[in-house]
Amino acid sequence: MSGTRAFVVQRVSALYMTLFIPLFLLLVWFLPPADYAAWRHLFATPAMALAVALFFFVLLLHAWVGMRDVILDYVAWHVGVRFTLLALLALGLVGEGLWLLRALVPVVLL
Amino acid sequence: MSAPARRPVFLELRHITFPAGAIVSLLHRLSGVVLFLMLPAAIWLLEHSLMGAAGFAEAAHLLATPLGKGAIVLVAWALGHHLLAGIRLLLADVEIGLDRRSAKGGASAVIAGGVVIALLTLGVIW
Repeated sequence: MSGTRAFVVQRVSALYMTLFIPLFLLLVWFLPPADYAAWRHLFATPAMALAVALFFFVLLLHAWVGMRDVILDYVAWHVGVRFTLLALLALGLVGEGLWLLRALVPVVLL
Repeated sequence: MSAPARRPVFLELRHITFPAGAIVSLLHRLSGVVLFLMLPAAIWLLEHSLMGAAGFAEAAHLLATPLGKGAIVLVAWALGHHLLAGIRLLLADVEIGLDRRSAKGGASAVIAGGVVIALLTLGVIW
């Protein structure tokens, strides 16, 4: 992902997160989950599960574009190192995505 | 080959300043990297908080330690700054605030806003 596509992804994901994060914090602030059951229930409702899944999906895309830019800017001196870092970044973000799935899917299904 | 003896040098430190817009830009990048680095810890906490009552209590306990509170304030600053600086960029995309005065004012507001959010968070959790 590069050029105009990265530019658009970065802005669309930013817009979604700019809405999601304050709304989520307001929700937790004004309707604080009293205990574990309430906290879990919050993530189990279909609308919230969908909103949270979308949030982490765009967050990981946003992190890819941003960290990719940082690596491309500062690791200009060695193609091999740059490629390795980008590969590690991609692997790490995919891993975090799978980790999140493992954490969130059981909450919805069980 | 010798260097020219009288080349102009301008190193008056009182006159050389890093403009607010450049500081916002630098901190936007820095805060983004901070958020990226904190992501594994955030996912771990979320995972454990949803695993069971014991994990929930453990996550809550960790966030209440001095290290946890410090991390919360750091993330609050990084998130606040990153979000405000990002909104400033989005406004620039639709050509709002491009004149010199509002660009400078907006940059200062973003820097201050990030610090205010961090301090408010500190006040709430301490």
